Amino acid sequence: MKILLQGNYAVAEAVRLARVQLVAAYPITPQTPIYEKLSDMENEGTLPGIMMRTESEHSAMAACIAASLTGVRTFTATASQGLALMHEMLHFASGNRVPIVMCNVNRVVAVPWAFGSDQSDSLSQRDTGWLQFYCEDAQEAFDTVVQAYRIAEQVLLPVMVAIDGFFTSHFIEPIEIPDQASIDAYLPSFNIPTRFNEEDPAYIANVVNPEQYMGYRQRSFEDMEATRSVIKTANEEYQRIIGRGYDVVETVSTDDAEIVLVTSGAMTSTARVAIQSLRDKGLRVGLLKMKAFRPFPTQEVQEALKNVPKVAVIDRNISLGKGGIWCQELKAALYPLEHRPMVTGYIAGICGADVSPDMIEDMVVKAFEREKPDDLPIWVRRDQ
Amino acid sequence: MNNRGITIEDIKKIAPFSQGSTEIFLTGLWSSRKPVHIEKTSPCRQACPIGNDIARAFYEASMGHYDEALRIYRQDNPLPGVCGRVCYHSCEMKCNRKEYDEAVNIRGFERFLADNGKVDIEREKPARQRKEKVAIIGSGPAGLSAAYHLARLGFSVTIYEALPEPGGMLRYGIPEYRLPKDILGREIGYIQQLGVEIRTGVRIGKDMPVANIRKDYQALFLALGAHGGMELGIEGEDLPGVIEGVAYLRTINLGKKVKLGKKVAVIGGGNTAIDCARTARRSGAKDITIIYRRSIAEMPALAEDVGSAEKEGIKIEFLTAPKRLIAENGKLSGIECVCMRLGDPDASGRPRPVTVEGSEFVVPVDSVITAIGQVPEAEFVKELGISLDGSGIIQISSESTATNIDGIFAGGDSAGTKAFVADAIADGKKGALAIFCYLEGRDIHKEFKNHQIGNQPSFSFQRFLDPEHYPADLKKVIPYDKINTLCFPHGARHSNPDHLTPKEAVKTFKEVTGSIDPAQMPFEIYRCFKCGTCTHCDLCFLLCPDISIVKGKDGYTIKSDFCKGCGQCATTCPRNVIEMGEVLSSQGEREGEAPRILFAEGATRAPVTGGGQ
Repeated sequence: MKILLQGNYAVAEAVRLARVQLVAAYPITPQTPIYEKLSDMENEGTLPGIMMRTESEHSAMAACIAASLTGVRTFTATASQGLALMHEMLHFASGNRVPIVMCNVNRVVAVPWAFGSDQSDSLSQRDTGWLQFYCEDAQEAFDTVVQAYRIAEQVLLPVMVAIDGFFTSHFIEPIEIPDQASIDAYLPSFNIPTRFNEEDPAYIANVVNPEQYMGYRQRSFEDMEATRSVIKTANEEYQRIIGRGYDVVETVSTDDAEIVLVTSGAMTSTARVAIQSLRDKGLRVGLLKMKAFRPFPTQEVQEALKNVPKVAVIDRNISLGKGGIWCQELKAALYPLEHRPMVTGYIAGICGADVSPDMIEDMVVKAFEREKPDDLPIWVRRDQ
Repeated sequence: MNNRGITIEDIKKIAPFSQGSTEIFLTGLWSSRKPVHIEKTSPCRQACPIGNDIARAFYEASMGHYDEALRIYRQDNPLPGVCGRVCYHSCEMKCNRKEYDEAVNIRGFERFLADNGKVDIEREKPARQRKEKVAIIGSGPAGLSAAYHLARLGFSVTIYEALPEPGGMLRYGIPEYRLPKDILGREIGYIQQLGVEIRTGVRIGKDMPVANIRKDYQALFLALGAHGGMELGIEGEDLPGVIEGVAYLRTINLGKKVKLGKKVAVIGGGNTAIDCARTARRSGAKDITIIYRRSIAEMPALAEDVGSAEKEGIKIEFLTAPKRLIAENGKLSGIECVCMRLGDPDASGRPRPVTVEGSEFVVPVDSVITAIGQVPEAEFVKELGISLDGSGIIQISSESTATNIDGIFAGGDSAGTKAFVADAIADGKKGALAIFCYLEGRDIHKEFKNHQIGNQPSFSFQRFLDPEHYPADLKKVIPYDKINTLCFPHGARHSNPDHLTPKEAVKTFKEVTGSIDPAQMPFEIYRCFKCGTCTHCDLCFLLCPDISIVKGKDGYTIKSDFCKGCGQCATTCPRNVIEMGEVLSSQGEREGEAPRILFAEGATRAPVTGGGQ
C-alpha cells in the first residue's frame, strides 16, 4: 500500500525502520522536517533509538562518530552550510571507518544566501572518503537510506544519501513503506566490536608515520573500490526482499541513441518526459541517470556511452574555473574509450531554478546540432 | 568478533586506533607557562581581626559538614557564638561577593555554626601538657582567647576574674538581648573543659597579692578590660541622676535595678550608648534621647543596632553636644546642649565636630547616662612596674603584646586595642603566641610573620600548629577580579530575621535577632564564592584539553610534562585556586633540576585590599 509522504518524512521512516540507535543532528532548512519527524517519533516512543540535539553539525558528526565507534547504528541529516561545517568531521568519519549514514538535502551554499536545490554542497565533499548516492524521488530516498546501512556496515565506510532540497525533500509523493519484518529481513542488526572498552582502553586518531599513513589511505581506497560489488549485491538483495531496486546508473533508450542526456537527482524525472517528447519528434535520444557519485561508476558509464556519438550533461552545480561537476567526472570516465563521444555541459537549475521539459529538449537539440566540442559549460537560465 | 567475523584486530588494520600509550610524547615540554594549584586566602579572612578561616569553613559547610566548619572557626576563635552575634563583621565589608550583589552573611553563618554545630573538645586538647603555668588577669574576650590558645598549646592556665562570673564585658557590658548569657556560658564552658581554671571574685591586688601571681606563674597576660567610664568634664556631672554607662550596664547585668527618671538622655555614639539606651527602654523608660556630637555616618556603634534603637522609639540628636547639666532644687532637670557642625578630619580620620556659636538649647531630662568611652581601672598594674599612658592604658609592643616587664603581656581594652570583641579576641590569640615564644625562646616576630594573614595583624593558629600540612598560601589574598563570576548565579543575601517586633522587644531582655532559617542556610552557604579554597568542583579536571590535570584523593595535580600552558584551568577556576606561572628558563639552573615555576609580575605580591576597618 502506498502512502503520501514528503521526501524528508520518507527518510525519517527509513531511519526508524532501520532501527537506528542514535540520531545526532542540528536543524537546517530544508532538512528540518527530518529532524522534526524523528523528534516526533522519539516523543511518541516509536523511534527505536535516541535523538541527540547537538549545538552544531560539527558536533552532530562528532557524536555519530563516537557512538559508531562503540558499535551503535547512527544517523544524521543536514544541508548546505551544515554540511560545510561538518567537513572536518567527515574526514574523521571515513578515516575511523565508521559506517554512519547521513542524508544531505541539497541546498545552495552561501553567499548569496538562498535555499533552493543545488548539489554543490555535497559534491564539494567529494574527497572526504564518503560513499555518495543521489536520489531521484522520495521513494528512492527511502530505499537508498535502508540500502546505505547494509552497504556501510559491510565495508565500514560512511554513506551520504543526497536528495534535492524542496523538489524531493518537501514534495508529497505516493510512497510505499515496507513493513518492519521485511526491513529486518534485509538489514541485519549492527554488530561490530566497540573500540571504546573501559576494560581495555584505546584511543582513535593516533599519530602514525608517513608509511603507515599511506598504508591506511591505500587500504581505504581499495576498500572503497571493493564497495562496488557490495553495492550491487545490496541492491539485488533489496530487489529480492522488498521488490524494488536502483543501479548505480540507469539507462533509458540508450541502445540506439544518437545523443544521450545525462542527469542526476530530481531533474531526472523531468528529463524522462523530455526525452519521450523528443523521441516522439523523431530524435533518437537516450537518458543516463547517475545515482552513485562515489565510488564513481566508471565502467557502467563507459558501457552505456561507448557507442554514443554525442552526450549532453546537465549539472545542478558549478565548480568555478571548470564547469559542472558531473560533466567533469563523466569526461574523465570516458577518456579511456576508443571512440569518445562529444560532450556538451550545461549548467541549469542552480538554486532550484526551473528546468522545464521544453528547456531540456532545447538543450538536447542544441547539443545534438553542435559540430565542435567545447570544454566550457553553457549556462541555461530562463530569463536569457 | 561480530556476526560477520570482524574482530578488533581486523579493525586495527583498516583504521588508526591504538591501545598503547602516548605518554612517551611529552607534549608540554615547550610551554613557558604552567598552571599552579595553590589554595589562597579570602579577603574576608584578611579583614577578620581574628583571622577566621571563613572560606574553608563555608566549603566544609557546603558539604553539610557543619561540625567541621565550626571546628575550623574554633582553630582561631573560641567564641564563635559571641562573634556570630556582636561582631562588627569587617569580613562582610571586604567580602568579594559585595562587588557582585551583596556580601555573604558571614556573621550569621558563624552564629549558625556555633548554635547548631557540635564541639568535640577532645580534638582540641593538646597532645602533651607543658610544665609552665600562665596566669591571665581578666576573663573578658581577650583573657578567654589567650587562655584557650595557651591551653591548646599545653600550658596550665588560670584566669583570675574580679567579678562574680566570667566573661568581662561580654557578660557585664553587652546586654542579654544582644548576647544571651547561656550562649556565652556554653563557650566559656568549652574553655574550662580544655583545662583552663577560672577563679572568679578574685581581685588582684586586693583579694590576692600581686607578688603571689608573679611567683607562681612563669608568664602573665593582663586582659583587664576598661570598666571605668570617661568623664564628660562639664558642669553638673556629679549631680544625682547622672550615671556612667558601663557602670549602668554592669549593675543591670548583675541583676540589680537602677532607678531612672521619665526623661533619659544618653550621651555618646558608641555601642555602649546604644546598649544603655535600649537597656533603659527595656527597664521601663519611655522618653529616651541619645545625644551625639557627630552625624550618623561617624557613629562607632553598629548600624544595625542604631536602626534597632530607632525602631524601639529611641530618639537620636545628631550634631549635638552637652555643654552643662542643669539642676533645679539640687536635682537634675536638663542638659544645655549646643549644635555642632562637621569640620576637618581629626586624628581618628573622622570629621572634627565644631561648635556652632549661639546655638545653645536646653533638653529637659531627669536622668543622664554618660557613654563617651571607657578606661581601664586597676591599681595593681602600677605595682608591677608596668608603664601606662596618661589615660591608664598599658603600653605594649603591638607586634608581641609584651609590656615593659619581662614575662608580662597584655591585650584588649586595657592595652588600648580597638574596643571591639573581635579585636580583644585577636589580642588574646596573639598574646598566647607571644607567651609560647617567650617560654620556648622563639622569635615572636619571625613566628608571626610566618603565619601572618595577608598584610593584616592576624595570623593562622592552625598553620602555626602544623605548618607542614597547611593547605593555603596566607599571603595571597584573592581580589574580586580573580573570581570567575560566570560560575555563580546572582542571589539575594539571607539576613538574620528579627525574632521580635520592636513593640514586643522592649518588653523583655530576650534576644531580638534570630538565627538564619536552617532551610535557608545552604543557600547562603552556596552564595559564598569560597575565594581561594578548592572545592573540588572538577571544572579544571573536566575542561583541561590535554587531560593534564589528575584528580587524586587529596585534590588535583598538574602533569606539567603534558600541560601546554593554555591557561583554561586558571581562567575557569571559579575561585582563583589555579593561576598561571612562568617557567624559569633552564639557563642558570642546575642540570637535572625540575623547571621552577615563577609567578608572573605582581602575582607574588598580596593585593592591597585596604587597611584596617
